[in-house]
Amino acid sequence: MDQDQKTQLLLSQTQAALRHSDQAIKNSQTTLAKLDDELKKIEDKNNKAQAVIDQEIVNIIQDMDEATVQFVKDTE
Amino acid sequence: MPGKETFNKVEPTSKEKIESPIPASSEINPEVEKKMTDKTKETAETLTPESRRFLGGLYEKIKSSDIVKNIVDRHEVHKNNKLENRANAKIGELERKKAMEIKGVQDIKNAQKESQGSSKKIEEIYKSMGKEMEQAEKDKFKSEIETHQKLIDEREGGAQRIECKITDATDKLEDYKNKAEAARGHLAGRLTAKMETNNQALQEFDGQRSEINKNINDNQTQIKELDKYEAGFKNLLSEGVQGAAAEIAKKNLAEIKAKKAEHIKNVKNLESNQNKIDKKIDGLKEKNNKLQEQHDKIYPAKEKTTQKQAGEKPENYKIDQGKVTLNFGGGKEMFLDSKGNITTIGSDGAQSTLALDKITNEALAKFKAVSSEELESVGIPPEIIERIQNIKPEAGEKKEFIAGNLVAEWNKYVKIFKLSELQVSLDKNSDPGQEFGDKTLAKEFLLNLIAKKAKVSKDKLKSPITSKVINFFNKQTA
Repeated sequence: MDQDQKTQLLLSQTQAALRHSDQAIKNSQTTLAKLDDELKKIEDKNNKAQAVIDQEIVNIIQDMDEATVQFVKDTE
Repeated sequence: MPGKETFNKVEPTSKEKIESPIPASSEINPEVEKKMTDKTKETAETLTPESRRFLGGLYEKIKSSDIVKNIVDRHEVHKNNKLENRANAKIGELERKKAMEIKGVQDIKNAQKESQGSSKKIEEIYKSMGKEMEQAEKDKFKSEIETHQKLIDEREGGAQRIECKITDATDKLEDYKNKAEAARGHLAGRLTAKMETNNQALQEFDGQRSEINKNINDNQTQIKELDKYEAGFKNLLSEGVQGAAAEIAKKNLAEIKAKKAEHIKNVKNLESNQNKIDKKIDGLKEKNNKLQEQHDKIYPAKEKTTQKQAGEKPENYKIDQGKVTLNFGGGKEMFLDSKGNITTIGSDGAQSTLALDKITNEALAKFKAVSSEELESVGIPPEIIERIQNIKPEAGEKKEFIAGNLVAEWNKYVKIFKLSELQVSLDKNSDPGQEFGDKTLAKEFLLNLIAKKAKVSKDKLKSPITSKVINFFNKQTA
């Protein structure tokens, strides 16, 4: 293989590599562009579910507070 | 607390007065009162000052109105022995009163017996004298006996009324203790639910992290690749190429340099985002550690090991009308009903239900032992059956990839995303029983099938497709 052929081969391989690079860069940018939204979705979903459970805890405690005050009243 | 009857007010004994733990001037903490229901506040307002001080003492430790943060302290209020001691002191006082009434009844009965005896003796004396007791005297004795009887009836009635109060007080104490114990189970269950919900978020964050990691690897691979060609062009120039070839080499070197810079910038950006996700993951793990601590304070580990024998995996299952019930031993059961809800009954009797849209894969994974046919026979929704079938194996379990199963699972997976065009089939020459030693070989095999169907080389497959394949394997093996 002479110098020209070597150069041509290197050139075509480089152009192919650059195309792959473009694709990888594009993919990364796509991933990053949607990442914040995805993370927010996960957090919002979790926060919402946690809030529902927290309210259930509040209800359990409030029920018990009610029973406790009534019990103290009953044992006067 | 059911029932409206209250007890007669009984003054504390001198011993109780001396040993009373109630701070003399404490009232119900305003932070606690803030979160009480209106009904509770109304009841609290009717309490005697002594009772309010008693309540104040119980809630003394709680300094903020945030119930969720105070869950353990609040639970300790409801399980405080002082409540039981107070009830027992009242019951003891009533017992003493009842004993006094019973003794009073006995005293009067003795006096009545004495009157009857006296009446009989006098009547005998009269008889021995050949006379009869005068009517007035008979009436006097009769009236005395009747008065005694009236007193006996009154005091026996009093003793019965006290007995009713004792029964009522004992029932109320039992009711309260049962309610506090049930609340304990419910609170522990809710804390577990919080951890499970966090675990689900952790899993999702982990998925995002893997995606970022894949991008970092892709960028780094490209940098290495470009390094190779950069070296090639530098070599060309060093060999002294001139003219157009030199220009091409310089132009390509500049292009490679720019592209590498973009990759490096991308990697930094991706790594920074990966750190952001890591912080979120660490934050959630820390939250779960704290939740576990709270859970263990409500249900101490010692108690769990000595009293609770329920295992993590079901021991057996039964098919009932409209539901499948898993038995974990130790009284713990979990059932999946035809509406797609999962209800768990803990060893402590606490019950919690996860609705169809809240069911985690972790909960569904428990039903993997039940066959699809059995699930169908009780009317479990098809989408739930499909989720159960698609659940990845537990961590630590080795996933074996067999060609036939792999294709079937992939086809099911893409069908969920309505990407039937990505479904593949085995070649005529492929062996459905071919085993792949690891995920990498299995992934290559699947990518080749997809590429063949798309009539492109494997390397030309678009990124959304390869990402889907990566996610599929992550789900299979995570």
